[in-house]
Amino acid sequence: MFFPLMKTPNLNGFCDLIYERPNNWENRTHKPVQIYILWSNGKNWNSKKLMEMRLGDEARITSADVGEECLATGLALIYPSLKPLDPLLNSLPSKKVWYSEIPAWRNTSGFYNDFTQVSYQSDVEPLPSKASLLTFHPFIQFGDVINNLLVLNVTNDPKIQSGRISMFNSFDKSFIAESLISTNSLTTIPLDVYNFKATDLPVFYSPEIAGIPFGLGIAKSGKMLSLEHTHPPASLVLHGNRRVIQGKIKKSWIEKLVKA
Amino acid sequence: MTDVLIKATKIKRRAKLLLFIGKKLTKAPSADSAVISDLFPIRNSNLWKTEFELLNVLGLIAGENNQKEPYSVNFYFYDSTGELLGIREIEIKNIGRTTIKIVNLMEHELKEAATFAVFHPSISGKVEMLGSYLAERGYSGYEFQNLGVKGYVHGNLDAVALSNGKVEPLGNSGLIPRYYTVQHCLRGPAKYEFVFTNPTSEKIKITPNIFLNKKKWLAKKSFTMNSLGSHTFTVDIKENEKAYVRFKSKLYLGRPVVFRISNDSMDVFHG
Repeated sequence: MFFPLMKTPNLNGFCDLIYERPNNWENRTHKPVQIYILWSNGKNWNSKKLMEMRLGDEARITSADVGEECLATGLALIYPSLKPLDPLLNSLPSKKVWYSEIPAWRNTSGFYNDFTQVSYQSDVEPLPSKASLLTFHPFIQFGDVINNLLVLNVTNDPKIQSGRISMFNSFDKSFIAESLISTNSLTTIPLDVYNFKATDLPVFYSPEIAGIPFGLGIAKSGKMLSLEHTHPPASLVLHGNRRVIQGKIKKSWIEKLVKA
Repeated sequence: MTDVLIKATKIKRRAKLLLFIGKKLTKAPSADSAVISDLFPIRNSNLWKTEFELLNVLGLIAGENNQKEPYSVNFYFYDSTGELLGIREIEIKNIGRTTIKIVNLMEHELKEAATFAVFHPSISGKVEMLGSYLAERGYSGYEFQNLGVKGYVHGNLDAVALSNGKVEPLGNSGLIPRYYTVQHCLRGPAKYEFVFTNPTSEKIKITPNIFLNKKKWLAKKSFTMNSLGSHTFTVDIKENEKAYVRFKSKLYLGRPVVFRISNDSMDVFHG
């Protein structure tokens, strides 16, 4: 289980850690942990110990505290480890130390500026190296606001590979634009250049790289930030065979979008 | 000897699992044609506005967001005691997204509404659902002090179903109370508001506990929520103070929506 430290233009990122179990019955871990920051250089995962945390401790790690090299891709991972890690790793550590299921053991990641902050309850599991992404984005705001799409990707493999992400209008399936997203990175895609209307619902499709997409809104005054992840198609239904339904929803949309 | 210990540990874990999570987090609705919604908190005052991003969920599932046939969605409004105050039918226009200003619906009998659920038409018979149900888990947007930018948060409790015209709570609760620690360090100066909804068919008692400045856990006054009721628990954290908060209840997942208000701005996220 990893906790993201993110960086996007004009904002600093933070990751707030607390060593408190989310429930009192699932994972009784209490040993001191070594907090590592991990980041990919394209060939390996670099690891660097930041601190030790004991049960009950809290810590805030910010993008301003760590070297620029750690956030060259916009993303570093915070990892609590029971054992020392080598400085260079071929893949991400597999031992889940801060881990529970109901609820998932999370921490708080987000962004801040001089006025305010925005939080997201985060935990990241590595994604498959080859996977697709389809999502609808209902968070575009209007007025004195900057709208960005963020796509967070983490894979076990430290390679940094880029792939296409295409943007369509979900109503008439018209193609709007194409951009690139990368593995083991946080990619920021500005959206205001596309002059969306309040009634538009853009749909994003990446055939090669999966990820967690976020809508990020930044008030031009700086006084308000907005961050929330968009849902995968599986979230449109509950119970039953959701995975199969998700596959059908994606197939149905992708067939139409590819023709557009 | 080691084998015996491993076996005993496994049995203990299974017993714990049965004791704490004997059932699923949420029940499946009783009718095949049911649709599901979360209970979305309303913030409505001089300081707050609530909006809802209404999407054509049926069309998104079916792979067609160009909805030529009329398509209406029902908003069910509840007060903080869980009483149904009224229903408003909204026709989805044939557009990609409709932003609903909740305050515009809160007239007459809906003035004291504290939460709402959004029920789409049943998809049963239109799309093969393989035992799944259409779910509105969508996004509420909250604006504070006319800052011009909303903070969004999605639903996360899959609270209620509309089954054959009746609202059915879907949340499960257990026999033994358990703690849920909000995985967030409260940092001052800030006011934190934790908004709970009760997705179960039972009354639920919640006892907040606070761990302030690394001293010790202190129990605060408990509160009780009726089925489909809601409650806001508020904590003020002073400058340079830090705290954790946990909630003891029989809810399987006592996860609130968290509002952090500080420096004339706010941050909203699910706990």
